[in-house]
Amino acid sequence: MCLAVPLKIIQVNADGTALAERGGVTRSVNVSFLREPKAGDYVIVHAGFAIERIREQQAEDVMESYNELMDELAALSQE
Amino acid sequence: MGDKKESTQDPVIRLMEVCGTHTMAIAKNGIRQLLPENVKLLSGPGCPVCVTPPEVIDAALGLTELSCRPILTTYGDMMRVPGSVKGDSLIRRKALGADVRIVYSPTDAVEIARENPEREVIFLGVGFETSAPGTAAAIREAVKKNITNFSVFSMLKRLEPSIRALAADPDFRVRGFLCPGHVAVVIGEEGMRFFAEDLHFPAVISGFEPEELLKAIAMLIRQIRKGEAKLENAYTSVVKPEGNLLALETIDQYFETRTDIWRGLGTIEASGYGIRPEYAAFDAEKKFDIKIGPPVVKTGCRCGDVIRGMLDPQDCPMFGTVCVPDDPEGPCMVSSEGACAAAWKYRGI
Repeated sequence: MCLAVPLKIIQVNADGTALAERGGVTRSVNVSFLREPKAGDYVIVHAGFAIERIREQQAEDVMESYNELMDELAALSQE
Repeated sequence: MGDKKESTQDPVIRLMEVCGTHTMAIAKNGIRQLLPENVKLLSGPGCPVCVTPPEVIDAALGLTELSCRPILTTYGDMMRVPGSVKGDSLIRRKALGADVRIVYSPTDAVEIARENPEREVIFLGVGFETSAPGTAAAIREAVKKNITNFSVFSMLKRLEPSIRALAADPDFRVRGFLCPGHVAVVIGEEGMRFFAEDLHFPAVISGFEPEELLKAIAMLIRQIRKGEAKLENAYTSVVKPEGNLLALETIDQYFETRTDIWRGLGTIEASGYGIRPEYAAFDAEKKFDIKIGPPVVKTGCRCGDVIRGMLDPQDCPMFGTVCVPDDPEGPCMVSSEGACAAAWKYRGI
């Protein structure tokens, strides 16, 4: 089960928990698996635990990815 | 193995994902409908509830019969899963008076134990490496706060041994893998290297959004076209080469690997996580002397074949007729990450 949600940390507590927020909804998350978590960090949360910070990634949008896949499938069918 | 010569002559290219969340995301986004007839996307043993055998589900259900009347805490998607008897599930036991409560996080279960010191609280620890650190952290918290009425029934499993078991089957015809993105967050690219380096499969670590899935599948097709077999990371926003070391250390502190039984795959060495002996006081198996019954051979239910990628859900004779989410034969149709449940929910897309 891999279900995880991106949230933004708004306040870190001393006890390994933090208050995190998404879309105006806040909840407590456990940040004990992060080194030096701080307010403003975007994190991915699974079952109440922030399992990693989210770093910026050069992301393609859906159409770019779709076209890339279609190109690969076209090349495949020609071989 | 991925490098068998005969597989390059097979006209159908089978790709496998091994993550229940990928199963659902692929179905929901209609990804299969974009692929031609000769490229098939299979679901593997990625749903932790689905790979738990019926006799282990029965043992979990049996906890509701303990004379101490424990509070059984569980993730939501375990509630409707039947054991060896159709219709017998946690939700049915709850309806009959058992105290079963859904929790979002294992720490919620520790909190329930703290608030109810006179009751035993058992957490059903289902999941793979993504869930293992949090389950370990729950034990850590109970130890630290001396919450002695809390224990975990660990059904946690490891990805790698199940993939090795699949690959060892001579009938296994998969040519490439989408690797589970959040398991990879924990175990890192390092933990996924075996796909390519040992088993010679093209493998791409994938995220869960439609653009991430499309990109990862494109990368797999490209590798297959070029005859490559490498591990690539298409989820670099959260997957690091080394994974999450703090999470890995926490797993290692509280769990040890052990032989475990998988629905459809049988007994696999080092494929499960058991609680270390020094934490036996928080291990529900020891505390309540849980006995797993003999293997149950359930006639009819093909969940074991589905999770090995040997049977498409729609090809099961019971799919949608005898077996539906409201009245499931097995976990694949009722787990929120089950392949049959995904096929049913998004049928017609």
